[in-house]
Amino acid sequence: MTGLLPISLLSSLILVLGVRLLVQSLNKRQRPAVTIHDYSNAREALDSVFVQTAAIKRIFSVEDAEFVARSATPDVKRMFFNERRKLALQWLRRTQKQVAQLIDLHLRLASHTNDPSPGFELNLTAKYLTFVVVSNIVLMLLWLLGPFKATRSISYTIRMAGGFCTTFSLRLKRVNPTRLSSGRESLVH
Amino acid sequence: MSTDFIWWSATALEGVVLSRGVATGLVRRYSLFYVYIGCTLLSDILRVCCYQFAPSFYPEVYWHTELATVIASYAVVIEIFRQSLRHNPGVAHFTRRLLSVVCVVVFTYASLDLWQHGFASLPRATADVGRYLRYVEGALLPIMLWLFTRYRIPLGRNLLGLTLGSAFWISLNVVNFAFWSEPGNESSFVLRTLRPASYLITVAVWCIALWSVQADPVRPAESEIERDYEVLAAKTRAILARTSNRFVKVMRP
Repeated sequence: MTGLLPISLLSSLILVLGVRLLVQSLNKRQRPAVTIHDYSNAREALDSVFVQTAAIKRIFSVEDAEFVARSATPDVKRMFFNERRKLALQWLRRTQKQVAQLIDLHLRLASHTNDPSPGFELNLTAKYLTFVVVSNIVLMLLWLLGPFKATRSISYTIRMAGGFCTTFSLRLKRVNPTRLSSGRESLVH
Repeated sequence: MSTDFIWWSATALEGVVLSRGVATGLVRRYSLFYVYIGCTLLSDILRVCCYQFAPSFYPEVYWHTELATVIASYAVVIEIFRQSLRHNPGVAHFTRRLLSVVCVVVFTYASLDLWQHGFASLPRATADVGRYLRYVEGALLPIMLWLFTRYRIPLGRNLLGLTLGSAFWISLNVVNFAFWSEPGNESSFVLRTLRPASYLITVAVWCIALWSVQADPVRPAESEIERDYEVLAAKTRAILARTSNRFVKVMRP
């Protein structure tokens, strides 16, 4: 009877993956053919999230919060904190969406390559899942506490993002720079 | 009565799938799949003849034809693999390696288990071999499906129907075989009905999906895709590293 459990799990797994494949294939938004141009566009879109770094940094500015807390009326304070929270959430959601899109395009393009590296793909998945989990926790904290009180959790995100960064820079050293001609202009910033 | 209806309907649908395949020319594109359908149709006819003219041989014939169709069903898995990854050499290579490892592990486990429990009778041994072959197939299929979903491999409607039909059939068959092999379940009415019913649904899915020739997904031109994985990985790493740096810069108090 104990053998029935793994068999039942295996069977359920096949069904779940089958349904996922069906949903993925029926998804009208997913175009079957993805090109390097789509990928470049996604990279540009992700870059655009950070275009006005100073303005985004301002969302989390503690000085602004201190100034408003000191001199504004309760109504203005409430409005200020609500707006900042809304902006912070919007920005984080947009970043998450763009990263997800980039990973999606990476996977779709990777399927056309001659030698995808399972090790790197696994590493990428693990790091991406960590990013998703942590960024969602930050999202929840921003929603609950607002951008100013959530500073501690955000500092944790920074450490996590640092690890995320290191993984990508490690393998970069192995790449022959002469083969990067097509991506050179976007790699050098 | 209902079992007979299911059985006759499934056999009729098999005939329809085969004749449509010949009429539309899909039989050439998915030759291995149609070999499997041909095998099942033949075994069904053989079973009916045996049941009518030599009922005493029926159990033996049933289990032997069952084993033959299970072996033939591997052709469907190979067909799905061959057709879906023909434009993705890297993923195909990776999948082949992964499937080989799983195949060896599951086959070894099944052989040892079979050897340990011994052979009570020829029909029973045949049934056990068939069950283990299904388990191997059941272990291979999720890996393929996972890779298809992970790499977003685009499938045409013909191939999608073929894949989903197989996934449904194999998943229910694996569970069915497992429950059937448990003591006391040999003559369960539910299990006896569930199997042909699920097969009928599967053949219906195949019939709908393979009714006419559907265009394959559009492939991007060679100049529009990147064949070198290292280049693509480097680009992704670079953009994600840059994003992380900017993210840190923005959030730093």
